[in-house]
Amino acid sequence: MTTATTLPARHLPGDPSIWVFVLGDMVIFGCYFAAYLFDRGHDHELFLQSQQHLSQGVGAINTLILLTSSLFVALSTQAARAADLRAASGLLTLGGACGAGFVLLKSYEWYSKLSAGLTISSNAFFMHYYMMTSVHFFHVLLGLVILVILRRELQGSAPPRMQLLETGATYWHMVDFLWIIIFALVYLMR
Amino acid sequence: MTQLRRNVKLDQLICWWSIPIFYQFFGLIFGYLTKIMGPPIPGPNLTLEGITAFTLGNARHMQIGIVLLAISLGFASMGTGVIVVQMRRMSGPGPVLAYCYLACGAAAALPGCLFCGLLFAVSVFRPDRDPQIIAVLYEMGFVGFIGCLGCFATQYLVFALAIFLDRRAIFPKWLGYMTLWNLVTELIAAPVWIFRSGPYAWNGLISFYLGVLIFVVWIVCLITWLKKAIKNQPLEEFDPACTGTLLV
Amino acid sequence: MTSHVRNPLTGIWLFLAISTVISWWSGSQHGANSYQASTWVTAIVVLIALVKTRFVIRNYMEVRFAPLWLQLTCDAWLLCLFGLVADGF
Repeated sequence: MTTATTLPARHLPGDPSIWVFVLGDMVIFGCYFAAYLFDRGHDHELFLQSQQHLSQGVGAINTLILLTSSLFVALSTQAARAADLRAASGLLTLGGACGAGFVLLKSYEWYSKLSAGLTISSNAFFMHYYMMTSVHFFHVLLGLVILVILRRELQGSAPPRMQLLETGATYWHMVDFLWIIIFALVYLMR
Repeated sequence: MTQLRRNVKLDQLICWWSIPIFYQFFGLIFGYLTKIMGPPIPGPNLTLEGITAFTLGNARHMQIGIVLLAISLGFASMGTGVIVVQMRRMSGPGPVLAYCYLACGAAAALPGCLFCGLLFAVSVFRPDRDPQIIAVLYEMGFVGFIGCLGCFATQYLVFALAIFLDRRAIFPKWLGYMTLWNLVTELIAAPVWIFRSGPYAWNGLISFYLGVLIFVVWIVCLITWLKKAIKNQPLEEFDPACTGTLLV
Repeated sequence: MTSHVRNPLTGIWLFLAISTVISWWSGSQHGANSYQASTWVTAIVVLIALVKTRFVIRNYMEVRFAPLWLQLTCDAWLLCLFGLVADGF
């Protein structure tokens, strides 16, 4: 276990199995993106018009929220390595708070779309929009549970297990970058 | 005594063998005979004539398939049983989650496996049945079959959780993560009740084909590592006085 | 606190935040009545997204320090995504 803030060369962060999950999830989301792009290619006009109903501002704020949460989680990991557990715990809490903010904003976004009568069966664009953001949302919720577990690890009486912290952080960063792609493909690209 | 100890895992091995055999049967029944999963599977957008043609045109194969399904479905319980035995060995909440796994499997077997077959059997029972009724049974069958994948979601969740919390590493951690992929694809199949076309419909690329692909990869890994878990189970865990009785 | 500000990870966050805003600005309507399809906007938006993702993967997820096979796999995934988008155009 290293206490330095930098890593030795060729270190696989976290429990190696988390990478099975991350790579698998990347492939699975890749399939969702492919299905979205395929349908988009077939009905570009519909997708373009439907996209206008989305609030790019809300999407951008959500992106910034998740990016900030990732920063806090990454800083927390570094602090834990430097054995500054108080800072690590505080930073993790901030990261989790950002994650909770994402959940609230996303819920509000869905509520406003549903109130406007735009449901999952409105058209192909909205089918993809709701499906992808729902699956991602489920990942965020799971991520928040994981962050709580990590925080408990940091606040426990025993020295925290770095592998567990890195594993949880890896999962959270994955949730962040998947959203970056969703934001670009669904909200912005035309 | 040594003779007794050598056969101590026999029950588990017999049950283990039932899994690959059952899935061969399953593939034969659902893929070739009843065509419920035989690619490409017919979709929600089929016309009344199309549905009637699919169902009645396949009637003899379906009938044979349903008979085989009804007889063989119970064997799925053997596989569940041996998985439960191994889950009980896990530290942490393993034993509790083992019983959750068992209960989920029992709850999911009817809608997830037999239900669709039953409905098709009924629809081909009379060749002169009203096409509207055949269509209803067709939709009930397919939407029920794929839509009820969610019933298995909890089963996979408890299995993954048990693996993650198990310090005895009965199963490797990556299998737990793969189980989570399975869980996600089962959840994706939940909205098949809504869509009549596209990748998230019951015959969709994502809901069906991706889901089946991931399931197949997962079940192959499960079967392989289950065998290893049985093989690596130390003999000390068995009661020497009674063949096969577990002390855990 | 200042150590966090001077931390390279914070610098990367700043880059990610700014590129998010640029991306958002590029993709927005700029007063037009409706969206027009635009290859340029798509290219900018998608490229920025892929670059941001790569930064998150390599720096936050510390893949920079990971074995080469993982670095290449992650880059391959990004390339495939780019290919998928490019294929549509």
